[in-house]
Amino acid sequence: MVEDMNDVEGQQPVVKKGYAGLMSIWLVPLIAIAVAGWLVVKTVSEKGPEISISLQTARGMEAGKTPLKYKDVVIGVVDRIEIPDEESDVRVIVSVQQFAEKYLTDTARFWVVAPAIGLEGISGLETLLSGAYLEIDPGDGGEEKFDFVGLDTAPVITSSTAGREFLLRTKRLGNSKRGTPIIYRGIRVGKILGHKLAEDKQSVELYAFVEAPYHELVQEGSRFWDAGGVTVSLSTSGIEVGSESFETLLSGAVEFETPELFKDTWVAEEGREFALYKSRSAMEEAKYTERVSYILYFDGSVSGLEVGAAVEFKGMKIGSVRQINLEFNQDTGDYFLPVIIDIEPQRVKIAGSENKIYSVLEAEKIRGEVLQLLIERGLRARLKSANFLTGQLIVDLDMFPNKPALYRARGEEINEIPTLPMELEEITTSLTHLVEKIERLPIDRISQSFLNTAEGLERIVNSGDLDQAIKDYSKLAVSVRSMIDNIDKNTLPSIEATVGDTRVALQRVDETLGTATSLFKNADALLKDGSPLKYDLSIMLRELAAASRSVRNLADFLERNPSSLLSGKNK
Amino acid sequence: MGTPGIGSGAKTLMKTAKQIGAISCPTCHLLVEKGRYDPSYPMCPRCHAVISSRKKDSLRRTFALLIAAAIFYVPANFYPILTLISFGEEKSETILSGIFTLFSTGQWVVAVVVFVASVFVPIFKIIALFYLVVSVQMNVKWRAVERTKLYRFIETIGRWSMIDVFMISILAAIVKLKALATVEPEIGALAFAVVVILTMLAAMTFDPRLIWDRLDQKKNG
Repeated sequence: MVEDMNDVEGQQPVVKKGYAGLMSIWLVPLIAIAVAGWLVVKTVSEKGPEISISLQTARGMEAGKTPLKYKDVVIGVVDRIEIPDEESDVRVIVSVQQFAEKYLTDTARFWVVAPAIGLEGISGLETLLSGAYLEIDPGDGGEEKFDFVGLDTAPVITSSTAGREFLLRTKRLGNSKRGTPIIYRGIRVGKILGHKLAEDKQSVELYAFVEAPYHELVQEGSRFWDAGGVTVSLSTSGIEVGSESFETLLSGAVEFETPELFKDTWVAEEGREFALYKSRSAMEEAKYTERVSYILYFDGSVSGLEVGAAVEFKGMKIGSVRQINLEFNQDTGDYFLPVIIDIEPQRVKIAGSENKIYSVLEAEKIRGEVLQLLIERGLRARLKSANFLTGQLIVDLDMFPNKPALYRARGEEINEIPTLPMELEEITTSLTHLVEKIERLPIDRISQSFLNTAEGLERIVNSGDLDQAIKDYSKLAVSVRSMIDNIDKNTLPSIEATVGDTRVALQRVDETLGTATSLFKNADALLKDGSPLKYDLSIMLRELAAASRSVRNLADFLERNPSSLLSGKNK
Repeated sequence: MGTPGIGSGAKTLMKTAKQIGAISCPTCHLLVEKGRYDPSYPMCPRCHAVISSRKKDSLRRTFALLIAAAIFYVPANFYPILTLISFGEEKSETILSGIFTLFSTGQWVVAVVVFVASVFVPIFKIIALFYLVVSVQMNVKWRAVERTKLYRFIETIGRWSMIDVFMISILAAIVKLKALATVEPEIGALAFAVVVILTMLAAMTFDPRLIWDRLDQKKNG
């Protein structure tokens, strides 16, 4: 059997040998070389460029660990951190992956994302656990670059945010700062990117970014104002304290709106400059762009009149005081108090013009004519007390057709509105009139009627009716006495009984007071020094104090080491 | 496997199976004498196992496998063997960086064990087998007993290098805590496993009897 098998097997040696050639074993190192070569090629090709980012500090940076992220995708890792001798900055060397090389242009920006708690909220909370990381905003492309300077703080917007940037100019930087929201009708539509003192050092420029699609809401005629903080307004209905929202109370806000007057003007282009008004009311004032100046000469004192004081026409504000001067004429020795006022004709609506569309210039002309017409019809200016307590004055315009117009202008280019004396002076004049009227009264006739009255009285006394009246009075006195007797006999005893009842009631009150005293004694015992309750209370208070101290310590510690929430307290 | 232990002094008195033209069956250890097998396709008449006087192509195969192992030894040490992701933080470790970490954290005993098992043993095996292959190829007769002992030692320690591979496999399978911690094996671990397997195969394909054959050839020649 064995022999047979051998024979059978022996007939097929060639088949078994086949391709198991000597070369086959050399495939193993060949494959090894191929795999190793592939690994090397892959590593080399994936190895992207190295970039250096200058940062103020390397806080949170860890060589070999800290990632560089773009839109939360890791595109590189910090390779090493260097401190160049010649610079005060720290240089972080990041090896970036091959595919991310296209982001490394001169428009790219880098910053560190770390947990931060600010007025606008908490950011970077995820880095509490993972540690800080670097973030890149690639920008719009440009020249390839490998040396960067990191931003101190994260940019307010990234380059991928669509929208439009505008310039806001203000006299004084108020609440607005970097990151302050821009609000349109309560909706957050953008942010303030930053601010800078203007070239002439006379104003502050703020860079406002309005995100798409809201950027089209900013039109040529739009108005921006500082809507942050608290607004306090005093009106007849009381004091009103308001704020846009709790958030803007802390972080401030810039709001904008397009006034009705400028609706449907062009959409403002990128970089358009706008004025930033300090409040909504300042903005509302400023929406009247047309100003016509008039000069007023007052005879009396202008004490209490300030620049900016209102100019009213029948109680409606139509302008404000621009300038108050004192002029002295050297030749004649005369002095003048010229007050220049700005009338804002846009505040005056021209009746019947709703359906007509005027060009800006036309409208301006019409409004100017209207005022001139009013002056001709008797428009006069006078000072009026706006507030009796503070003595503030406003300029009041009103129609006095029967008062003569007194012009003092001496050929100046500003039109003059005739003035009238102040109301106090008016009162004096009126008093004079009153005296005149008194003088004209028929005093002779009045004294004659007085005399007649006295005579009539005398007649009544002498007629004897008076005697009769006195007798009636004595009868009345007798009946009053008998009534008093009656009271003595019947009423007094019942009063006595009432007094007795009262005494009983008082005794009860006395008892109640006694009970109250003992109650107070008990309470006193409970609370006096050494009593268990007081002892317990003081212990409890001490415990509470200790507890709050520990909570404060814990909070302090957590603030310093937020990571300890998870990793525990380091030794 | 294994050559019968013989003193070098007793060489003349000894005969090997090869010398008498017989083949020892590797499975049932039957000594198959000349004529009892088909020379073109030798087979054990008792258990039907394929028999051969010496391992086929021993030196060439061992040499090829060693070269492959040496090539893979480089990525095994320079590429990370695992990535630990804990709290969103990724940390890749190579064998050497792991040893440094262990050393710097004071666990130097473990560090030494890892170093010996993962770095020293594979390279030692590769070099030692190279030496054996080359010495046999060059008909070196020097210290045959010691060289045989070296071979036995290599065979014995070879499998222990797989500890690393097993450990990484187990870690990767067990540590799957999502956000908290995840271990992922990396390309270095694969290369390392290949190195260990290739060196074990190389040790297997090497026929230690060749060491003694050369000795006999010298003597005969």
